[in-house]
Amino acid sequence: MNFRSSVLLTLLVVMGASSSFAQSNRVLDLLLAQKEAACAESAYLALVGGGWLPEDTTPTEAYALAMGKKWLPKGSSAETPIKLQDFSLLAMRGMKTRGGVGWTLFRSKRYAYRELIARGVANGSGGPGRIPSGEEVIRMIGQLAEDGGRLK
Amino acid sequence: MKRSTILASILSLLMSSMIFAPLFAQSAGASLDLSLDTSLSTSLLTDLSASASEGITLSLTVPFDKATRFVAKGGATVSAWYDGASETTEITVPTSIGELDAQELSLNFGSPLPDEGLDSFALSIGRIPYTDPTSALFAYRLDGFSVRAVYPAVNIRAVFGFTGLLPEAAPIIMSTADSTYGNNGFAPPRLVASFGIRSPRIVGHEFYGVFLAQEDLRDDTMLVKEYDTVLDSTSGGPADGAYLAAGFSGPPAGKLGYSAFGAWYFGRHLSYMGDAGSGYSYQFVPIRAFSFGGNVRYPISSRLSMAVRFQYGSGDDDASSAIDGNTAGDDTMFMPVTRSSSGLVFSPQAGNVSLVALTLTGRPFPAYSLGPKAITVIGKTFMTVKNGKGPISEAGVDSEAGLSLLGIEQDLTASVRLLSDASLNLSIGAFVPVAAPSGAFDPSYVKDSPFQFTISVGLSLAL
Repeated sequence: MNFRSSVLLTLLVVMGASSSFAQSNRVLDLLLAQKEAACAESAYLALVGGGWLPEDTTPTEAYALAMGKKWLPKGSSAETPIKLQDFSLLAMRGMKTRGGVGWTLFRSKRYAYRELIARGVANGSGGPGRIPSGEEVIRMIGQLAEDGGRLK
Repeated sequence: MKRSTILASILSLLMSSMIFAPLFAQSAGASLDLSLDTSLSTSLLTDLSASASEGITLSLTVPFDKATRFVAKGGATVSAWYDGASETTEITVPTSIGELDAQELSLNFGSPLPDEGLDSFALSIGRIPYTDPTSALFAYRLDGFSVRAVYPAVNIRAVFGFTGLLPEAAPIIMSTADSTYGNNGFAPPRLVASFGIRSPRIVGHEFYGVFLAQEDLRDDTMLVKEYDTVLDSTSGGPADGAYLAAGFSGPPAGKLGYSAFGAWYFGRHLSYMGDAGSGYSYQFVPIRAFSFGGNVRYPISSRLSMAVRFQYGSGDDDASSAIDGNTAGDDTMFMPVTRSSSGLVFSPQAGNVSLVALTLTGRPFPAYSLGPKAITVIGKTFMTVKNGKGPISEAGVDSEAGLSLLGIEQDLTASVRLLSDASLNLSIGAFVPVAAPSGAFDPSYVKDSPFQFTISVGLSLAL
């Protein structure tokens, strides 16, 4: 099973197969083509994966909801490349993931980033300011979905 | 300038940098970490004792550019200790600047310099951590600098530092004068210099050599002088000496890993001994001591790995004590610059001791990195042997006993990473000393302390 098939299967399990799977497929295609993941597609994956939005939502709508909840940095646009620490907050919030003492108390991107590093979900070698690729974003969301918020 | 003034300036810089760092932490990529360590322990040696401590450590890293960064790490510990022998409780709170633990405060540069033919060049200035390549001579901190140059054919490292601004609790005790030294909480002043070379991998092996020298900087008026005829039990001469060490590590072939080293300790030592006349006086004698050791590591499976470590240190059969104890001939007691620890209960220094340690590390659920199943259990068995007549660093030993077993210790440590920022540790250690004539301990000591143990529980939070 190749990478794309694995991701699609994981997301199918998480989201449940439906007629609107075509939309998810389109967003995955967009992300796989992004060397630097954009805010909108990242928000779609995190919010749909966490059950905040239905699958037929557009990335722009997901981005708007994430901005409204202040899960994305002020001033960022839908196309802005997302930093790893900003993605960490979006993913932890969107996927409703439980965390450690720091995350439980402060719910900030600092502790979201540390949480993803500690779980082995994110690669911290480039620091919190690194821009992950679209493929990396899909893998990270897939891993969080697989964990289901469990501590592993 | 007084040492306390210098250290106060350094710590002020440390604290202010930690306060202001978060203001530009996000944009500059700086990181500020806080860790809290809570520990409760109880020990039985001859009497029961108990302690509780709370430690706080702040770490700051500020990168200025890709090659340069500032690192600061420091903290303090508050502790309470109950002594069963005297039935007293002592609470320790840092009250002087020297009792704050400034672990690192350094400016670091690291980059390849292809124009100079260097694969990498690294320079650190300030309070820097330093461990010599053998890990048996020096493992602590220094105030000075470290330079490392990595050429394709050789790796060179030079370290130069001062110990007089380190805290009094620094594990640098090489003489009686060090043991009784007191200067507002500071360690005895010494210069430490090290120069080492390391080969690139040759058939999977790295070879190294290191020269490490240290010189006592105390004024002569603070030390015993040569030809003094009165024994001074609270002081001694300067403890100047040097080490020449070599070793290797490797190989990546298969899963087996191993390393070995040998170290020669030389210099001169002021010893109180019989002189040409009819009396006794302090005289300089040569130091001729050595140590060697090695370890083997083998991962049995993804859940279990084992390691065996061995170290031998030469002793001095005519010595009256492990420190400044030589009474005749050359001083042959091996003594590293910094004291090291081995077992949780019994931790003798290398001089006149052989140590064999078997370590088994188990991770029953290797797929789990967090949660109750993310548990690591480490079992360590130590067998310590007295190499010959003469003293060792620990009390209760019969100095007339020759090659004999000191005792066996079993330690067990379990640590669980409960959350991404919280871990729980439990440590249990038990030591059984063996009395002369079959063992090396004084029978009366073993009668009073036939079984020694320690238990500690710790919770660490890294925020």
